This record gives sequence, structure tokens and C-alpha cells, in this order.
Amino acid sequence: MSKHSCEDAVAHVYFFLDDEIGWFRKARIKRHLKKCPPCDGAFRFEGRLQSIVRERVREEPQPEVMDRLRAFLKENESGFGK
Amino acid sequence: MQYAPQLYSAALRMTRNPADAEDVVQETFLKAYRAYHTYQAGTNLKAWLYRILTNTYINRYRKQVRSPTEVDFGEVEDLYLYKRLGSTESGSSSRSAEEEVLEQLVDADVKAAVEELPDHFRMPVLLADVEGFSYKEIAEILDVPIGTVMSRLHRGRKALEKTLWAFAEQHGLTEERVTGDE
Repeated sequence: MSKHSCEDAVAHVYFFLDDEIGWFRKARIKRHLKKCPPCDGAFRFEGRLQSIVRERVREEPQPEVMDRLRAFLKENESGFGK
Repeated sequence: MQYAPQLYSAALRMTRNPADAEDVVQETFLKAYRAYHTYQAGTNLKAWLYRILTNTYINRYRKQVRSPTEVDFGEVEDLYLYKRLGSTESGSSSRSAEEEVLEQLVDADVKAAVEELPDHFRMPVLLADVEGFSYKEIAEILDVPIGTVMSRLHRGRKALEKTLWAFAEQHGLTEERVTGDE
């Protein structure tokens, strides 16, 4: 695999995973990944890492937190129906 | 109170403290209710709320809160974590050895790694990777040019990888893979 196409792919890994890339370059990178297992592995790894951050960083508030928020808004903005 | 749970979750990672997160979310909703007439129907409500949240956090806390550890991330190389976790030979297997290490990182590690990022990296990483905003939306929320968003987000992710590598090492997750070529 040419060094240049690997470098080009790696330089755009985040743009590619974020879907913030033009269709032409996206297609070129996809073709490269099919032919290049090391780059394909790296892209899959980066993608998995993003999902892990998404899954493990989010934290649902305790019901009391939401209750207090509701009470706070009622007290300060009574009449606001939202 | 649409989006309140997500806003709270984001506030928690910004302030690193449940009491402060609650304050920031309360203030955010109060401001949102009072400024609701300035919200243009049909535009992005979620982004509008995050913009208020972010500004509230910055105004209240940025001055006094420093990152718990002032790590110098400098320029972190591409694929920092992947390269350190081992061979690049296993790329085509269904789930690589490198990915196995990721699965073993506990929630607390990932949260702590995000919280260790300095603000200018942490905000774009949170907004993109946790909240799923586009570069353009993040630029609007943080009121910075889109090029700045890209640069900070990409550098922030690499900095996050560096921190996760340190945690993986501390937990002995990397022992079988490190071959002494560091």
C-alpha cells in the first residue's frame, strides 16, 4: 500500500468518521480501506473509541435532580408553561 | 424541559461536580425561558440550549476552575492509542486485540479522561462525541470559527487517547501488548 494513500487516509480519519468530508474523498478513502488492513483496523479502532466515549461519558441525572429543576423553574418563572 | 437530562450530563463533565452541574442547568433553563422570545422557531433548539449552557458554564466557572492536572498535551501524534496498543497486523479480524483493551476501560476512566482535558479541548470533544453535534453546530455553540473547532476537536481527541493510554497502563491492560519498543 503506498505510503501516500495511507498518510492521506490517516490525516482524514476524524473528518471521515464525523462524516464531515466530501463524497469524492470519502469514496477514495473507502477504496483505500478495502485494500489496506492496517488502515482499516485503525479506522475501526478510532470509530469504536468514539462510541465508547459516547456510551460511557453520558450520565442520567437522578430523579431528584429533575424534581429540583422543575421546582426551581416553577418558583422563578411561574406561569411559564413549557 | 426538553433536553434537560442531556444538558445535565454535559454540565457534569464541564463542571466536574454534581452540585455545580445542577446550578448551571438551572441557570441555563431560567435564561432559556426568559430569552425564549429570541429563539427563532424552526431553528436548532438543542444547539441554542447548549449555547446557553456553555456560556453559563464559561461565565461562572472558567476563571476559577483549572484542569485537575495541567498535562501538557502538545502535539499528540495520529493514532496515538492504536499504535501503542499493539500490532497493526490484526486489522481485519472481527474485533482486534486493540479494541479488546478499549472494552476493558471502565466508565470511570473514560469520564476522568474527558474531565482531565483542558476546557478548549473538552468542550468540542463533549459536543461532538457525546452530544453528536456537527462541526458547524459546535462553531455556533462555542462562537468560534469552524477551523478552530476542527483543530481543537482533533487535538482534543488525541489528548484523550494519551490520557486513556496512561489509564490503561495503570490498570495493567497493556502489559501483554507492550513489547518494549518505547
